[in-house]
Amino acid sequence: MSLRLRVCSQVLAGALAAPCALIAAEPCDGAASACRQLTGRMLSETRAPANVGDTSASGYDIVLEGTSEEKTATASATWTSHDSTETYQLKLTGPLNRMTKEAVPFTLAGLPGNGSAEFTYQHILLAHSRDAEAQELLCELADRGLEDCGDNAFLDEARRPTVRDLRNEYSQASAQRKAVLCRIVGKRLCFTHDFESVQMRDAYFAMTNAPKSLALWGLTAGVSRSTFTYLTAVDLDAQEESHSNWKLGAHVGLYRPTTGYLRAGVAHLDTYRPAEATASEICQAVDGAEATRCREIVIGAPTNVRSTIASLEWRYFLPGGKVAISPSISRDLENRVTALILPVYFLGSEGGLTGGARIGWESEKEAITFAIFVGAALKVVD
Amino acid sequence: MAKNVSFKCTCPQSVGRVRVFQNAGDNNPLEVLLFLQSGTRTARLDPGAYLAIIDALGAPNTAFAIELSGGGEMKALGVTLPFDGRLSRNRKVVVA
Repeated sequence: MSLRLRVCSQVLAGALAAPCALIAAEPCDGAASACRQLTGRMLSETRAPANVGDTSASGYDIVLEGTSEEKTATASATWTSHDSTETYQLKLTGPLNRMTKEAVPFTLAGLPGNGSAEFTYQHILLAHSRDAEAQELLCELADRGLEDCGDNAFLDEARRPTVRDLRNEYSQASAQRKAVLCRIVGKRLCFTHDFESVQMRDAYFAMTNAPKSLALWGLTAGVSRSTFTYLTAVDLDAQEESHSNWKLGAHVGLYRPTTGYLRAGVAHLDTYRPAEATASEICQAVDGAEATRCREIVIGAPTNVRSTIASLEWRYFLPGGKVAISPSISRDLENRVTALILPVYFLGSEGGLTGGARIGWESEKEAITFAIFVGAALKVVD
Repeated sequence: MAKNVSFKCTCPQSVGRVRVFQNAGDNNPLEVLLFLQSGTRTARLDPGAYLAIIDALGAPNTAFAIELSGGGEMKALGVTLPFDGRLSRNRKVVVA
């Protein structure tokens, strides 16, 4: 078991708010990772200082991580399966006490006001076995020892085994060896001419079971508790209410080096939101005095909003790895709102912090927004 | 007695996988380490020699590197991913 504590600062994007309302409801994914709705404002945030994975061992492993933002603290525990293909994560978030700098994400009474709990499961579809005998034979044909062998043996024109090599090998091979050679070209029975068009490097990848692409799927379930303070619209009486919000989501992803990462997701949310997007300034007479006291507060009780959000994201690193784009589209199927976001990332050579610019559009407001952000490095898949 | 053998991947724009095989003729790996981003992962291995098959998928023409950062010896791998962003290499890992 390993334990890590990560403390991050939060910075405001110095530009216009991004249209993250739809995306914010999704788990932090791709373009949405920099967007999070917080007290009605859209913020861009700086998170992990570098794109560096956890130090962990094979087998089931627990990683604890704490993050501190301006108003909340997050603790997450992650279990990774022995072959690294399955990940289970539980994330608890609680309000941060400004005085004591402490946060209690969970109490005996359940979630505190403005606290949340989220469970995520992700499965990467990847087979690990290989055809050792065929791989060894290919390495022999490439005139390499197994330890020094690799796909580059077939990429290097000068050292690439020729079709003639294969045909000669086949002609002289024993029955068992022939069977292996046929397996390489993907046939149960084969002949010398089957090696005419063989793509040796692809065959090598196939024999080692090196992936051509990476597919994954995942599920997310979350519950949070929101506390609202507001004035009633009729007589401006101060009220406080707490409500539970929940969400269920699922996503699938496919990565290919040449086409990039395509991720589709759907999430259903049942949430409560303030009656107004921005607080109003209310001035009331102070008891027993002629003076008035003014404060910013929402007028009206919070409203229940149900939404089903479908999203599609395409993430692509341009060759050379200096620039990446991650356009995404989200559609709230119940409220009929669509959001488009096009972030452009400028990447460092070693990962680390990423800077970028983002253009967004939301159908409800029919406004184009622009933001500059600094955030954690963009992952190839997540 | 098994040792912690740490593999460090510097792969900000790719996904890396290390499969450790007990014998060169084995079809199924003893350990699998998957790197969805740069970082270090650790395998528990008994003293001896192993075959490591290192695969990568990533943006073409970007750097990919894996080295042993502790617990054993292995010739470091540092390459630029080719035109199709795929790579598969073999390495011998020795745990003393």
